[in-house]
Amino acid sequence: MQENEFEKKLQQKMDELQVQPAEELWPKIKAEVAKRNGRRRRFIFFFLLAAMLFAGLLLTDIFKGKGKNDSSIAATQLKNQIDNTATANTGLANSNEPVKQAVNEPVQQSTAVVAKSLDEANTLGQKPLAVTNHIGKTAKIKGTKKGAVKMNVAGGLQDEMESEKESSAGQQYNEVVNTAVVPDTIDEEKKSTTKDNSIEKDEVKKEVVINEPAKKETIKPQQKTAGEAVKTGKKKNSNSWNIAFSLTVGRSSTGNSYLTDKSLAAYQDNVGNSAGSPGSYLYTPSSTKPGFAFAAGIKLVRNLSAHNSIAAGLQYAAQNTLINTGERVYASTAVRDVFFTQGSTKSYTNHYHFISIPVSFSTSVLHIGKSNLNLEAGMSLSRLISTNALNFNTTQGLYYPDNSLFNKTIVGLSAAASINLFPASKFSFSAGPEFTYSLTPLASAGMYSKSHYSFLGIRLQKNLKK
Amino acid sequence: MDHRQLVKDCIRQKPLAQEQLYRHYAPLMLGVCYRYTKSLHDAEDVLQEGFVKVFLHIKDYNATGEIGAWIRRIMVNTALNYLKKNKKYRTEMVFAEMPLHPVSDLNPQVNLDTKELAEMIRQLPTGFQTIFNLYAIEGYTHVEIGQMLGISEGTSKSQYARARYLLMEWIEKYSSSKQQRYAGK
Repeated sequence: MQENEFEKKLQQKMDELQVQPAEELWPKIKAEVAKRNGRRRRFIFFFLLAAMLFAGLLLTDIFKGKGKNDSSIAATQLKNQIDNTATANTGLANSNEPVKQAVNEPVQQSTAVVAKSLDEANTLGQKPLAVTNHIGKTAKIKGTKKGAVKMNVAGGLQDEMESEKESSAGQQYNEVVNTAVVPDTIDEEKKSTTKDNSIEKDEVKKEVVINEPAKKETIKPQQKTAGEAVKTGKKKNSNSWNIAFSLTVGRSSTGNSYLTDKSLAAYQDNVGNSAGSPGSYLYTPSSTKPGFAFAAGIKLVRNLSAHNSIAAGLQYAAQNTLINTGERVYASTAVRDVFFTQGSTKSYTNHYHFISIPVSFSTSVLHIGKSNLNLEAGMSLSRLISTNALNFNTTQGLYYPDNSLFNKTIVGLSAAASINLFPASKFSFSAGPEFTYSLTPLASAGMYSKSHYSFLGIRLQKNLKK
Repeated sequence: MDHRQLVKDCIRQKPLAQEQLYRHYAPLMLGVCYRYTKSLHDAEDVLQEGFVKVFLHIKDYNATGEIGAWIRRIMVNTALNYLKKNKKYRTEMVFAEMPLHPVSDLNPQVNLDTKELAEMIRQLPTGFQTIFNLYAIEGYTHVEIGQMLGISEGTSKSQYARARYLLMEWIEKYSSSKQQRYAGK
């Protein structure tokens, strides 16, 4: 009872205690709040900036791809024009109006995608028109009322081109022409429209025959410039950004070892266990064990040459480490601090979540059959977006969460080796080990001030385009 | 002052509302911080950090409780963190298990003024001071204190008993010397 009275009196007295703070304290608080809010905003800003940059690169890449498709369509249309004209020249076209429509309709539809002049070309060439094909050479088509077409071909190079038929550029172009969908569709449509018409059947047969030389005609102008095309083709490859998805799965550590429990040696050295100053440091924290980690991201890869490439992207990484703690303690405080006592009864997982922008350089060092062995080195700028990692109070033997101690912006190094698997298949991907190490320590103070993030795993990377 | 509106404005990060809240509670909260630390400068550091937390976390405030009590809990928590992290204090924040001190028979009349009493509490060793503040003034139980500081309930009790004994002795001595001074006059 006496005890309670004493405490009651004390409580009453202390509740009255008021101390006037210094006048300069409020500006300091105001500035600190603004600074910390600013940090949050800056992070959001940089994150959005990175996302926008990434989206921009992605869109650029997509539109580039679309451009390529358009030019392929243009090339196909050019071929169709020639085919149609060739058909017209045989005198079959003017004999049957429905067939002409059937042939021309798809061409007209696809032509709408490209230049207006191509639309005009579909009317079977009332006036001359210029069509730029996908390799950038201009083929001039002169149309007449009867649909006669003359290709403005630089003569004298045909013989040269015959010898270069096997060249890669020629192959590329052939691939474009042969794999184009439109001509097949047109032929199909032609066939369907001629089912009920015996005359048309004959036309189709004749067209098939006629199409062969027409194809050659279309190839020839391209082949003439094969030397240039090879150069252009190479240039295109080196200038294009390819998209790649990567997934790395492995183990992460914040200490020195992936397999043993020596990771806190540095910290124990740091606190020194105070031999000679009794009572200063009574407790040492649990060792930190490596845990599961993974990283997933998207990259833009640019080939600098046949062997070298650079890549930049956006990546999310989750890393975990394990420590042993005692019982969980809930402190009834407003900021919901949770404490853990020292002990080894429970295993606690420290989770770290990062968003990072990795930049890397890759070089191919060895050819094994159709596969390449690539070595990669890079850097990354990461942002710790959240963590539940516990710090340790050596004087009280307490684990407590305090994210303010952790460094939020982390610069890291990475190294990887990879080999292309199933290179000839459409399911080809590269796989190999990857190691990342943060130059920035985990925290500015406390048990992690001398620790660095590291991550060792197997990376799978799938390139979407070649 | 409409506290609800003030809190809403603080959540919207209106500087005027923040300043108003600070001006209203700062003297009382500095009194709280003052009891946990050994110098006014340290108390102001705690107050600053505490109010920064208040403004950054005010959206988490549950409007059913009183805002003053919420801010006070943040101040106490910030003070504890400060003691744990600050080199000056953390070496003294050792709560070794000691035999339970017998309950004192002393029952001093607490005739001291608030400031004198606060000064006396601050003279206690940091560990004693912290537990005394938490138990006698904030009203936490020994179980809660044990959880907050990572010590056993028994340690908290024994430390508190020693702190209380010391404080009573000092109050007794101070009161008698004060009486003698008055008698001498």
